[in-house]
Amino acid sequence: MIICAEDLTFAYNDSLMALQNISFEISAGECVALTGHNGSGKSTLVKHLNGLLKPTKGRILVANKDTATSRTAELASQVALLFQNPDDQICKQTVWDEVCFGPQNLGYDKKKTTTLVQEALALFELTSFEKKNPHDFGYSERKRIAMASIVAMDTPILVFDEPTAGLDSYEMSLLINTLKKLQSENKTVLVISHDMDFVAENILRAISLSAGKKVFDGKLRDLFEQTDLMTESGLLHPQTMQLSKACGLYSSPLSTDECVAAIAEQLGQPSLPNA
Amino acid sequence: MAPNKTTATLFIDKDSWLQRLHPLTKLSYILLTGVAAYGGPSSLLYICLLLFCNAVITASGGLLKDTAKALLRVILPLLLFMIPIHSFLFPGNRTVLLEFHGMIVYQEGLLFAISTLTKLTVVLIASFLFVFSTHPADLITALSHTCRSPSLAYLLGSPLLLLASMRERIETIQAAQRARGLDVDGNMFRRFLSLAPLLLPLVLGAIVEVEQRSIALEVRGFKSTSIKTSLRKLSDSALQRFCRWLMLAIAAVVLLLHGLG
Ligand SMILES: Nc1ncnc2c1ncn2[C@@H]1O[C@H](COP(=O)(O)OP(=O)(O)O)[C@@H](O)[C@H]1O
Ligand SMILES: [Mg+2]
Repeated sequence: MIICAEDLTFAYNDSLMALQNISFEISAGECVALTGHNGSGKSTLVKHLNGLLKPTKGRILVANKDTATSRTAELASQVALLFQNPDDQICKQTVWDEVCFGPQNLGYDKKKTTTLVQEALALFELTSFEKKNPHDFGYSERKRIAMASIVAMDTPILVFDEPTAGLDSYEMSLLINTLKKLQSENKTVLVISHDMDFVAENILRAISLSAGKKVFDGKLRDLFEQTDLMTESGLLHPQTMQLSKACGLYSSPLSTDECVAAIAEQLGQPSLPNA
Repeated sequence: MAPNKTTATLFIDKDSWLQRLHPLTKLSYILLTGVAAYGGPSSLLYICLLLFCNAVITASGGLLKDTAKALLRVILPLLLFMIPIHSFLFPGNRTVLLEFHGMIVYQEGLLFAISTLTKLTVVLIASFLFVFSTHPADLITALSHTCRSPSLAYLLGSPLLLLASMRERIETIQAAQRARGLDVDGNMFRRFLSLAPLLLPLVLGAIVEVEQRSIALEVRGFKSTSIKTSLRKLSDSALQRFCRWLMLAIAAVVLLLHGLG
């Protein structure tokens, strides 16, 4: 198990419990969606992975290290965390330097750093911007810069806090390609997202929080079956499922392809003419 | 939202008489201390007496540790700098205190450095007391009750809000830097260096934020001169009002005497 949370509990101040008795395990190479309503504790949870927050009770092990006793700068070689707000993490004056920042701190040699940075910039189509100032760009570009600078760290675990917020459909496809590439490299990926269409198409397992408690851990498809839980977690079903339900189909398609297949089946045809 | 995110301001959320004191009373006290330290007799004994008074007030409000920490950060570098310079080079130096490998420490310079620093310490303590025990929102409420002009109150209060929002941003950004492997634990200089490229965006960001906030206030009728309901309850009393005027009067008298003498 590369990530193992045991009875994790955290309070920002004495009164407010942001996380309560959360336990889960994630094995190396898994891709997991972390979902839940705003304020349910998702960001708080992922900040424990690299020791930015320390548990009030319980513990969390990352690559067999207790994060409570490890320094964040040390854990950075294991876990890269995309912050929810790109402006929280942009701190350099050129896009190139920004993306270099992580690999340099991790002590990679010059050749490795250059290769990683070039690859990351290419993934998010930022290569032509490398000499520009990140602060001069719009929100979604800054978000891409922030994502590239996380990917460039080449850590075994990557955590994305709401990567889809504010991206247009093209930028979304860049993100999806990146996730696929990371999966093919056997990286462990944790994605926080409210976008159920995005999650349903790309991720199999979900952990869901509500008011600081874990309310679901399992196959995303099973989460969608539990309508009460979906409502409690403030989540909408993906549009493919909404559509199939509105059409009275029996299956629960999670992607466009599955949806098309379900409609074809309903019509008694092997496939749809234009699919 | 948590009602008092203590990280957001310098305010320390404790329940002591200092916290409950009206902000203007505390402001008057800073003024009085400043005038007493710089306008009063320059004898070291007198200044140490002021220092003692302030220390007692701080301790009784339970703020001794925090104030001492903040004070040390400001005074220590000055101490290391001023004491040697004045001991060796103060223009009025006459009396040799001790001689060491050709370096001569003079009494006048040493005393001058000590009394200057002590005066500064006295005023700093009073100021730290104020910022540690006063929530910026209370200050703005107090000012807008007194000034009758909400814009002026906001103008006076906004640097505090500016500071608070900047401090919060800096903490988040530093956390993000550590998350990307920057190891700056304990090294103030490296920490500052890592923030240097951000200074301009940070200050601009904070100013924009305060400006946006004031616009947001305006569209919600902030400038209306009718009496507002205040959610934060500020306790004031006749005694406090009397003390405020007394302190201001004493300060004025000291200044006057100082100007004449
Ligand atoms: N720095 C903080 N100080 C105090 N409370 C906080 C802080 N950050 C978040 N919280 C509170 O903790 C809870 C969980 O927040 P968060 O983890 O950001 O939720 P999510 O990411 O799921 O939207 C919320 O009630 C929020 O108000
Ligand atoms: Mg969040």
